[in-house]
Amino acid sequence: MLFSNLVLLILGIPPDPGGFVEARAILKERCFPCHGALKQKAGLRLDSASFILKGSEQGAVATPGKPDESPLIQRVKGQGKLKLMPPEGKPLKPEEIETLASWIRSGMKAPKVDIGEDNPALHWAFSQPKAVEPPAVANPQWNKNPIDRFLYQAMIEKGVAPAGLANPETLLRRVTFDLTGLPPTVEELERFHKDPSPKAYEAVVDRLLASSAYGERWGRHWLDVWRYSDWYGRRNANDILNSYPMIWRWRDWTVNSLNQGKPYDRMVMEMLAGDELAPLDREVLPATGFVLRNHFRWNYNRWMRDMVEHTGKAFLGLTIQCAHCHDHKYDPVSQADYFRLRAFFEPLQVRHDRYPGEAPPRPFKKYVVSENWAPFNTGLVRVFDEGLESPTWFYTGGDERNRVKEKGSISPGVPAFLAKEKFAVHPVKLPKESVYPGLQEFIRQEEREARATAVAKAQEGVNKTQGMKKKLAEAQLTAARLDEKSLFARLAADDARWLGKGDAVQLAGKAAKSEKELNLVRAELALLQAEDAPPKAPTKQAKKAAAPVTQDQAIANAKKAVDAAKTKLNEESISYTPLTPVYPEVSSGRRLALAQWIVQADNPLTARVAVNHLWKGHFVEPLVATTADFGRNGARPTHPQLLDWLAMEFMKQGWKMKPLHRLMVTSRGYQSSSSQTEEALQANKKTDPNNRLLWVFPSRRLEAEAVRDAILAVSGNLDRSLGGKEIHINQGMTTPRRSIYFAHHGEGQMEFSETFDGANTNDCYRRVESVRPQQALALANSALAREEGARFSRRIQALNPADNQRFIHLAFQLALSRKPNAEEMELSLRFLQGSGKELELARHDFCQALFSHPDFTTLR
Amino acid sequence: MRSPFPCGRTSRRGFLSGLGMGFANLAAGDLLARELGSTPQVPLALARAKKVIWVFLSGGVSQLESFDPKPALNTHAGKTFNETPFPDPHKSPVFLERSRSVLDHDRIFFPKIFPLQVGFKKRGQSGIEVSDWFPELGSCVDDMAVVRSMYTTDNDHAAEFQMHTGRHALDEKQPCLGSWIHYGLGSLNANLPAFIFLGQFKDPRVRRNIFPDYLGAEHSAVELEPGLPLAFGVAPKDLTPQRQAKQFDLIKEFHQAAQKENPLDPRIEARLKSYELAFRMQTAVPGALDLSKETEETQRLYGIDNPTTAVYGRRLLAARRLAEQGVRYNLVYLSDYGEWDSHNNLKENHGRSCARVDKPLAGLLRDLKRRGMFDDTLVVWCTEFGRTPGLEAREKNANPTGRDHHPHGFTVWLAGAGIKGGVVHGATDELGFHAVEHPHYVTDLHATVLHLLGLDSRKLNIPGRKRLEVDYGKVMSQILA
Repeated sequence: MLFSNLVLLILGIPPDPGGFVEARAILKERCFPCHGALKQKAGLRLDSASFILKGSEQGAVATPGKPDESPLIQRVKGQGKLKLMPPEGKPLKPEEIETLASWIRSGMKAPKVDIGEDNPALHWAFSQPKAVEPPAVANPQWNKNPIDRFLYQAMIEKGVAPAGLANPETLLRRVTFDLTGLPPTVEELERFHKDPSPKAYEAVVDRLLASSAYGERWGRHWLDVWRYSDWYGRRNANDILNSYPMIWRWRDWTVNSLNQGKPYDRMVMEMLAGDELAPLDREVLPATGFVLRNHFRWNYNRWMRDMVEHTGKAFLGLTIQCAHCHDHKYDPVSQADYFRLRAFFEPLQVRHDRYPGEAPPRPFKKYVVSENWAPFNTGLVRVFDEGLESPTWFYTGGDERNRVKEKGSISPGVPAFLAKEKFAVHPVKLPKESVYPGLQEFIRQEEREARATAVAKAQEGVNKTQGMKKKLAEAQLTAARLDEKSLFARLAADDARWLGKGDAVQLAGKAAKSEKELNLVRAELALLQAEDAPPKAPTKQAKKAAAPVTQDQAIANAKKAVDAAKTKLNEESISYTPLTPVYPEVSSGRRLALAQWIVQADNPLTARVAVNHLWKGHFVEPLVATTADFGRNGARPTHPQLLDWLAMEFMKQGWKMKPLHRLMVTSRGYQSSSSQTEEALQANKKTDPNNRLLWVFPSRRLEAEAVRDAILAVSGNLDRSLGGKEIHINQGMTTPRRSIYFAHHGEGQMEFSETFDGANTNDCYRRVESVRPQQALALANSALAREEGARFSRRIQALNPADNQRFIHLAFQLALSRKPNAEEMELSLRFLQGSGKELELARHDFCQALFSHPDFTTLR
Repeated sequence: MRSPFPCGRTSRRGFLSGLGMGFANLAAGDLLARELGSTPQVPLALARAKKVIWVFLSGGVSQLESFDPKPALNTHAGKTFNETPFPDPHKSPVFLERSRSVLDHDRIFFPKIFPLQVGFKKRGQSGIEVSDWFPELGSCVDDMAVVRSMYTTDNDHAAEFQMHTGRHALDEKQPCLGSWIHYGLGSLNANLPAFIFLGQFKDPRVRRNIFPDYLGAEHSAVELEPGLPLAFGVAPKDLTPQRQAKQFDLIKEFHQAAQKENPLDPRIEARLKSYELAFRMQTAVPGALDLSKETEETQRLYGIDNPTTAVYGRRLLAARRLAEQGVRYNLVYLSDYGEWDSHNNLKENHGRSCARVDKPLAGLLRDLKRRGMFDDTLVVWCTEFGRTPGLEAREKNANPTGRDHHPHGFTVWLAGAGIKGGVVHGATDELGFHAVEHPHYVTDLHATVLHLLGLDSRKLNIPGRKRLEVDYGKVMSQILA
């Protein structure tokens, strides 16, 4: 700015005669949110000199030449009865006020170019991506893939020279890690080295995309964005506060969905509203882990807040949470919009469903103050709409206690600037088997089988037992048979109640009666048991609670129970125990409506945000640097047309991700080398020092997961089994599973994950990459690096290398996917001295040292 | 062990100037590094303190039985607040705002006055009242600035998180103060980390309080404890020091070779430096933590000879040694998690806990003073909140003898570099309930510490991360020397 001003001055044209540019910078920082394009409180805009001259509804705000008489200056000084401006934050500094005053004093002259801010609704990300034709490019290397045409055109325009092609080894390593999070094998390397043709490369890409490891690498990437977290809160006290146990099924859903090629729009819908979309599909329901992850047992409001914030950031690239306490300062999102968005989630509650082959999970219970909620390890956890009538209150100051009751309950809705048509929510009627899971055949079957097994076992007990105990065994058999009978009665009653098979009242009466009979038999059995044996040694808890019960007391208690059961037997009742809890028959449909709106083709944000994440995973630097903020305060895209084209292409491909991955990694831009000739380098750096135009491929360090997985892959010890319950973080050094399967939550993560910048579970729309001494120490001293180093060495040893040279060669190929260069060979040979045991140790040390080679953890 | 790197001690500037090419997150990527090549950071010249020992007592220390005794509680013991001549604290306009619950319900209000559980005396030249549970620390009161008007807004233990990060647990997360200091100032010693945590670090409830959040892992605390090794800080058992040194040599040579191949990659240089630092840390950290290098007299000063005070004495002595060697920010937990949380039996619990920390804390202040470390070392003593003037009388408790959590008014003190000694700043009301005179939210304490370190809290900002006005705090200028 200063420089161009100087030029204009030399030319005799004063660009900003009164110093408005400087004054505007202060106004922009402090005043534009209320007096700019976004809002015009009191009808006042301060974003151009002419707007200021125009004044507010109340008249002039400044008089040329007279700063002291100008309300603008009086306001920022807080003079007289006028309200001090700005109303929030620190008052303006005296020197800032002087800058404003000086411009007024000198006559309020407008600068040469005097335009206000753009209309917020016209912000680039708030209008639909444009269907742009990729520019025509003559260069045959850069004109095949549409991505390249955009990239190359931008480079030509700026006059930077693109790098040459990466060599085959580097490219294979890059693409293999990018798509699978693992290094290529030696065989893959050799095959590609022999035939590095584009056809062969495409075959490699297809192979990698078809590998289950693709879902693991990209699953973790998306789980960063969707904030995967295992349960935490008070792990020490075994008390769940945040997220939920068994949420790992959502992680597996993510991996599987990616591997199956499920479209992104479908994934978003399943995550937000899988329970409304496919209420009986056990493959879909775990997707609602996205919602459940934000669960906070102690305070429902916190759950709601996280839902609004992270739905906005993850799918829309909008910082809606800023509108929690006040209207958004940059984007046209009002505080009312904030609560409208919250209303989508208001009816939420947690639900524990049964899962085939697993014991029924503990029934859900609402939070009771100071009662712990311990984790459990069976079942399918998910969300559902419980409180259909739950009101959403508007509150002020970010404190839910400050309800504005006069506003009434807020209805769900989306910000007006994004709503193309009237927003409609349709309640979803749920199938009976979802309302009452006890109707699901697998549950009925498992219940029947359990009874049959119990009867058989009791029968066996009778057969085996003699004498005194026989009576007891027979009573047990009676109870087991009655239990089975009672189950049949309950099932029949269920059939009548839910499916209209038979007289519901009569069958319910029968089921109720059968349960009462069962209770009596069980009470009698308990009495027999009490008479038969002295009571068991009291448990620790019982000891604390009261004095131990004598046998006489136990018998007396049991008799009382029998009497009670007998009395009950004669009571008329039609209430029996259902197999599972019963849930509301209707879901609000709110989340489904929200999800459908998010993935609607005319939503300008969703596809752009998604392709930006995909781009980031391959090209390191995202096209929009602020991956969770596409708003007016966010970064502008480096290649706006490319972003739009990719967004359109993504939707055209039916939101399928694999075709987009393929398109990106087969582009010439992706295959560029990460180095450049000295001459071109110097020239390019002048124009584009930060490589925004991708004139070289940006190298990056492996992510935390890949560092650890690569060590295990190279040593040959990596266990490639897929999925399952999360593994304890303490097992990271000893259990050779892929890193994605280890617990990762707000209270802890695996040591390697923490050391190498693993995802922050609070917020990880982009990972940070650090270089710090703890990383060096982890590779030098951890049990993992040391032991896998030994295994790595033995692995090469087993290939019977003829000499050290061959050993080194193989080690480099395995660990770094390339041959050692001459210098590295010389250094390595010098290191591997001696023979016998001494050499074996040196080889171990050498193999471990390769994990610290810069090329081991760097993707070039 | 010889250093495998020829350069030995690198100057900080030298260490950092190797980082290049707009690669913001490398190594000790602090403000200084960022500003290299532009203007040197001016405020540093104004720094009154170079390092901080921040002592934290978890669970909520009673202000009433420590540094803010209120005789009115004895006079009106057993009465409800309404029955005293003083205004009802529950009706104060700030009551609601300063008692926000993470739990979705309000906390019970206890209106019946519970008398002081311990006597107090005027101590030192300044005559500041200190409870009789701090006989040793009381004798250091002339070096302390006692701030009696702190408040926070969380009425449960997430207030601990709030004390370190400045935000209520229900609000958006922020990095902890130590991470900001690390980010802003980096290290004074090329061999040691800049942010060290001494204490119960395996407890996840404590760990979240020292989380760097969006500043990234490079600004996280290195967790140490006298007697325990640095994480990954000990060479594998089957690797002799000689062989590890050789291995480091090879790694270094690989890096140098890679540099020739990849002149564009700034990571290699940074990694080389980080290996160098790692190698030095491996020896420097155990050395810094080796308390046997201290005289017996010094160890006694911290109470290390006495089983009651030994654990915390060791922690504080270690903190002094680390500060002495240039560790910028030493966060010392001088309690177990929640140790001071005396809902019942306050007399016994607080009495016992005071006995554990009194001598070590006094030892630290005396030791710093005699070594001249008061010139550049700041000590902060704090807790997450105070305790209620009212008796915590719950239905189920037949014989209540404790105080509940109290965010409305509590006490912290500071001593050392840049601090006026022997002063009391701010006050609670006659009942020790509300901070009424110079009330300070927790970020005011942050701002004060940052100011003494020469940092303006407003400069601690990351593009794209919105900090609120409340995060910056206000410097407590009245206690500055």
